[in-house]
Amino acid sequence: MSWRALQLWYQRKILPGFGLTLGITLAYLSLIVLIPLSATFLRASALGWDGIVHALTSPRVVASFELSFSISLYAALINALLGTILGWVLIRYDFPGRRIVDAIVDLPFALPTAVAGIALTAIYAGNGLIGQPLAALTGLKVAYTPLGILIALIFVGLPFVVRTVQPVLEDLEVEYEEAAASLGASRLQTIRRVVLPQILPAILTGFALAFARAVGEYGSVVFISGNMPMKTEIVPLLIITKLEQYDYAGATAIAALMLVISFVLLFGINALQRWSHHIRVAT
Amino acid sequence: MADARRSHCNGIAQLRMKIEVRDLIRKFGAYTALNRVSLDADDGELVALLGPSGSGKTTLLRIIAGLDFPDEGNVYFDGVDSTRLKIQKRHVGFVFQSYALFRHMSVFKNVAFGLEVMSGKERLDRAEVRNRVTELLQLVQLPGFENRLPHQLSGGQRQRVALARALAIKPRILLLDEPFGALDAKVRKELRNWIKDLQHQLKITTFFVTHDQEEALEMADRVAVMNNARIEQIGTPSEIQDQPATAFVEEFIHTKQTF
Amino acid sequence: MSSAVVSPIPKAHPTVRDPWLFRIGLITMASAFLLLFVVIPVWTVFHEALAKGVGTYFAAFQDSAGRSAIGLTLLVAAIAVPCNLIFGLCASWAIAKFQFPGKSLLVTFIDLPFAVSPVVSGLIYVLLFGSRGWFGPLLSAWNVQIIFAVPGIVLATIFVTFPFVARELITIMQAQGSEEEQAALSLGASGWQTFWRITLPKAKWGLLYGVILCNARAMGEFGAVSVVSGHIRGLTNTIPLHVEILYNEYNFVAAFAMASLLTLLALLTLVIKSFLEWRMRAAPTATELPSFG
Repeated sequence: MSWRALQLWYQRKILPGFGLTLGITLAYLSLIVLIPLSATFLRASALGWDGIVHALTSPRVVASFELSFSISLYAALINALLGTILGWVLIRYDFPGRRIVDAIVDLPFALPTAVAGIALTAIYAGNGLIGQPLAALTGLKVAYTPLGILIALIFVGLPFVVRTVQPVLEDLEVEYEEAAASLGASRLQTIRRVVLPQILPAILTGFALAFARAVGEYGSVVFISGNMPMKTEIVPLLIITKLEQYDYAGATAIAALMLVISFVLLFGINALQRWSHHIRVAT
Repeated sequence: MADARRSHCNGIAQLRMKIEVRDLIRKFGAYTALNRVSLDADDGELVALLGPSGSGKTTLLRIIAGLDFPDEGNVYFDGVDSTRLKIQKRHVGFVFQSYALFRHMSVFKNVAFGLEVMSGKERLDRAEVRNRVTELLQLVQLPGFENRLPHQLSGGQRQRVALARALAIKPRILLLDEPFGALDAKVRKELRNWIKDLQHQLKITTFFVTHDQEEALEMADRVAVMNNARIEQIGTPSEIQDQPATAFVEEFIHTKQTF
Repeated sequence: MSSAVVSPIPKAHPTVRDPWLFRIGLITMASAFLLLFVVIPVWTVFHEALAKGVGTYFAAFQDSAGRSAIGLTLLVAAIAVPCNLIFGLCASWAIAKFQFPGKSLLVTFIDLPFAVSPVVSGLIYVLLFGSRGWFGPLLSAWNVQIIFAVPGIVLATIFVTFPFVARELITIMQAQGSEEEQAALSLGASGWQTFWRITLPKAKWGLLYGVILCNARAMGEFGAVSVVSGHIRGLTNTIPLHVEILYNEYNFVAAFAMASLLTLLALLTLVIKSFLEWRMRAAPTATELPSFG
C-alpha cells in the first residue's frame, strides 16, 4: 500500500482517536496478557523437547491429566443435559418464581470459587447435609473422592449451557413445531427432529465453555477433592504443588500444555459460536 | 470564507455558499462509486441528486459533507479547497437517512447540541441557546416538544428535529440523505412542500439525495441525474423532462415508480 | 468466548404445549438440579457461619488478619477494576468504531484470559517476576517485590478480570452503530465531546454491567491470587485466601463468616445484574427506521 493510500485510509476513519485507542489497547494487551503468556512458552521451550516430555509423562502428571479431563468431560455432559432442560423450562414454561429461578442460574458464575469449595465440602462431607444420609443409605462417599470433584465441576459449569441455549430457544419459531404437530408428529418426535437440531450448536458451545472452565478450575475443587496424588489430584493443584517444591520446570511444562489446550478450546468455541450464529441468521 | 454573504430570515441568519465539485473519483476496491463527477451549486440553490441505488449519489453527498474522502478530485467551498477538511470544521448541516437523533437526549438537547459543543468566541450563553432552540422548533413546527425523547416521536417529527438540529449551527450548506425514505406517501408529500418552502425562506444552498424522480422534479431548482458513478445530466426540472440528454435520463424520468 | 451472556427475558410460549406430565417432570428435574447445586450451597454458607450464634459470627470480623484481608481485597479491586475499565473503553472504541485488519484476532486475544486456568494465570507472573523469573534478579537488585506482595496480586487480578468490561462494551457499541457519533461530528463536536456526550451515555448500562462482573470476579478470585500471594497472614491475603487459611485451621465458623461476605457480594451482584439487564432491554432502540408519519 502506497504512503498516500495509507494516509487516505487513516483519514477515512472519520471518527477521531483511532491511533490513540488502538495504541493503548495493544500496549495494555501486550503488557498484561501477551508478554506474560509468551514468556511462559519461552520458558517451557527452554527445557528442550526432551525436558518437556519427561516432565509431562511422569505417572503423577499423567494421572492428574486423566483425572481432570475425564471428570471435566462428565461434568460438562451432565451440564449439557440438565442445562438444556433448565433452559427449556425457563423459556417455555411459566410458573411462579420463574424470574427468580432464572436469576439464580448465574450464581455459580458470580460466587467466588473458594466459597463454593468450602460450601460443597461441608454439604458432602461424611457428616454433611447430604453426605451423611448418602453414606448411610448407599455407602457412597462424595467428599475426598472423584465424585466430589464431579459435583464441584458441575456446579461451576452450570450457567454455561443454560445461557447459550436460552437465546436460541427464544428465537425458535414456533411455526416449525406447529407444522410438525399438524403432520402428526408426537411431541417427543417434534422435539427430537425439529427443535434439537436447531439448538444443537448452542448446546455444543455451552458444553465446550463448561468443559474449558472445568478443566482449569481450582478453587471449588481443591477443598472437596482431598488432593491425593494419583487419585484426586487435579492438574491445577499439581501445578501449585510443583511450584511449592520449586520444580519450576515441571510446573512450566504443565502450564504450557494447559495453555495450548486453552487456546485450542478458545478457537474451537469461537468457531462453534460462528456456526451457531450462522445458523440463527440463516433461518 | 472571506466573502460570505448573509441573508436574514425569521431572525435566523444563514451563510450562503457556492459549492464546486471537480472530477471526483472514489473507488471501493474494484468497485467505482464515483467516476469523474463534477458539479456546481450556487447560493441558495436546492439541488437534487437523483438516481437508482448504486449510482453514487450518497457517496457524493458524503464526500461533500466530509464523511468520506475521494481518491482524486476536489471540493471547493466558496473557492477554498476543502477536499481534505475534517467534517468538524466544514460547518455543514447533514441530515441522515435514519435521522441519527441522539436517543438518550431530549429534543431540546438534540437541537442545542451543536451550540453546546462550540468552543471559544462563538459560544452562546444559556439564554441565547434557549432562544435559538425555541426559534428553531417554531420554524420546524414542533413548538413545545422540548422535553420529548426521540422514541416518543413519529417519523416525520424526528425528521424535523434532525433538520432543526442541523440548522442550529447556521451551516453553510444543508445536506439531506434520502430525507423521505422511511415515511409513508401522505407524510412524504406534506414534508416535501414544507421543506421546499423552508429552503426558499432560508436561502441556504441544499443538496438532497433521492431515488424518486417525482420528488426531485417537484422540489429542486436543479436536478443532477446520476447513473453508474457518473452524472448523466444536470439541469432544471423542465430541461431534464423536455430535453433529456441521454437515453438513460429519458427512461428514468418517464418510468413511473411505484411504492 | 463470550462474557456472561445477557439472559433473555423468560417469557412463556403458550402455543405449543408439552404434555402436562412431561412439563411437571421437567420442572421438577430443573428445580431439583438448582436446589441441589445452588440453593443448598448458599444456604450452607450462612448456616455454617451462624452455627455458633450471631456473636461469634461478628467476632470473625474483629480479627486483625481478617480485617486486613478485607482491606486488601478492596484495594486490589479498587485498582484492577478502573484499569480494566479504561482499557475496556479504549478497546471498545478502537474495535467497535473502526475497521482494520486483524480486528478479530485482537478480539480473540482479549478473550484469552477467560480461557486460561486461574492457577496458570498466576503462574505466568511468577515466571516473569518471581525470584527465579526473567526479571527476578533485576527486581531484587532494585529491592522491588512483586510476587508474594501486593503488586503481584493486583497484576494477577487484572489478568483474570481483563476481558469483562471490554467485551460488554464492544458488544453494545457494535450493536449501537456510529451514526450518532458521525452526526455529532457534523455538528462540530470534537472527539472527546462526542465520546463523553454521545457514546458513553449510550453505553452506560453495558458499562455498568461489565464493571460489576469485573468487580465480583476481582474480589472473589482465588486460584491466581493463591499462586502469587505467598499467603503471608495479615499482609498478602485477600478474603478468599483468608477463608482458605481459616478453613485449613478448622476454624469453620470464621471461614464461613468471611465466605458469607463474598456470598452477599455475589447475591448483590446478581440483583444489580438483573436490574441492568432489564434496563438494557428497556432502552429504546435508535436504529429503528420510523414506519409511520
